[in-house]
Order: sequence, then structure tokens, then C-alpha cells
Amino acid sequence: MKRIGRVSLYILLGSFIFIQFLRTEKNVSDEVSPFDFLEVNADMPDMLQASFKTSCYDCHSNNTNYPWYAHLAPFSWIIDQHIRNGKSEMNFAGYETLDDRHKIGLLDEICEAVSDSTMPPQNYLMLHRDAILTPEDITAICEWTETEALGIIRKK
Amino acid sequence: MKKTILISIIPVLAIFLFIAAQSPTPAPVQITEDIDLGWPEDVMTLLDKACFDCHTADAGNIKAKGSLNFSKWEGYKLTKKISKLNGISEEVKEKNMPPNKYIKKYPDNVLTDEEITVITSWANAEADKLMEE
Repeated sequence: MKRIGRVSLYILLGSFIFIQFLRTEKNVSDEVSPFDFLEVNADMPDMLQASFKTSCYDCHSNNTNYPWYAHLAPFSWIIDQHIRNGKSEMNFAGYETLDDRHKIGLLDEICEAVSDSTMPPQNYLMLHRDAILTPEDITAICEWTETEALGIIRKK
Repeated sequence: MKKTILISIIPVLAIFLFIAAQSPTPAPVQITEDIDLGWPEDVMTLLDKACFDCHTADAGNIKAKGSLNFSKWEGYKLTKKISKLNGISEEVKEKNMPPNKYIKKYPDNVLTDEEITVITSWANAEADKLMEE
């Protein structure tokens, strides 16, 4: 009985080491996209910039700020999948390539997602306490997105 | 021992079944006459067929109602209206909406490719119109 326990422990350890060789490609880009949301809205208040960076950009941009455990399989796989999903849904790096209608749609959806706590996702917040948005953060985000959306309409 | 495990599984199963029974199942509702937004009749017919069962005040699907409720359309801000029209266009085009689960239950309510084009071109034009105003 004891032997079986020890053998399975070795197998477990061995497989853990083995899966470390199955690397995932990291979501890190050296170049800053000229179409990036925060680049084209550089006049945004610093507090807001910081909110977007810490609460959204890990999964919705071409640059993820990886925690140490993100380099360990199987966590790296899960994180990789989350980032893939996030970017395919929406990537801030391409914001400026959107037409006005899609920009307004995105701005409204940002406010909606943070207001109803759909974003950032709960499982992400469990390990990223600094990404939690306070009610004040959410109000600030929504005021900004609304003003920006109205600005796009007015400009037309 | 076996019996205890079996007995302890039963309440868990019961809870699962209970949750499953609670999940929202859309019930067809006839509410077109209540919603008058001045939209073209052919569009309204399609929205009634494929959207209103879940996206109106009378619907039982709280999540669907929360993200888009045609009964509350007039109360939406200008930016919200544009955003929702954009969303309608995208979701219908991508065939995310109506959801597969709904189509399985109500196969007659599936949108044909022509009908999808009617909705998306209307929604895009309507959004553009709102942006011009």
C-alpha cells in the first residue's frame, strides 16, 4: 500500500516536470501599436489609464503582465487560453482601426461589462486583487466612455 | 460503506436536478403590438420571431433581458442605442443569436441568410442614422 503511494507520487512528480517542456507562446510584444486604445487616448487621466492597464490589458492587449506561476504548466495553459479568448473577443491594440459605430459599441460595452461585474472575471480577480475595480473606478470609467462616445457622435 | 456513499450522492443529484429545472427556458410570447419603435415592418416581424421571446419585458430570461430589452428601448441613451444596434448586427451576423439552444427548441424561429441580411443592414443603417442626428 505504501509502495503504491510512493510510486504514484513519483509518477505525479514526473508528469509535472514533463509538462513543463510543453511551452506556450507568451503574449508579449515589444512594439506599441499605434492603434492602441491607451495610445490614441493618451490625454486620459492617469488614474483611468492605470485602471485599464491593470484590470483589462492582461487579456485584452498584446502585452500581458505575467505573474510567476504563469510560467508553470498547467497554469500556463489555462492562462494562455484565457488570454486567447479575451483577445479574440476584444483587443485594445486595434481600437483605432474600428469604425465610429464599433467604437461607440465598444465604449458602451466596456461600461456595461464593468458595471455588471462581468469584467474583470471573478476567477481573474481571485489572483489579481489589484485589478478589482471600486465603485468609484467604475463610475470614472463609465463617465469617460460616455463622454468619448458622445464626442465621436458630435464630431460627425 | 457503499450505502453511505450512495445516500450522500442522492441529495447532490437532487440539487443538480433542481438547478437544471430552474434554468430559464424561453416561452413564446406575443408582444409585437406593445413595441412600437417606428421600425420597418419586415424587421419587426423578424425581431419578433427570433429575439422578442427572450429580449422583452415579459420574457423569463433575466440574463437576456439584462443585456438587451426591447421593451425599454425608448429609455436607452443615444450611445446605448447605437451600441445595441451594433451588437444586434454582430450577434446575428455571427449566428451567436438566436442561440443554438433556443433554435433547437423552436426550429421554426431560425433566421435564414436573407433574413440575417435584412436585420444587419437595417441595424447598421439605423445606428448610422442615430449618429448623424
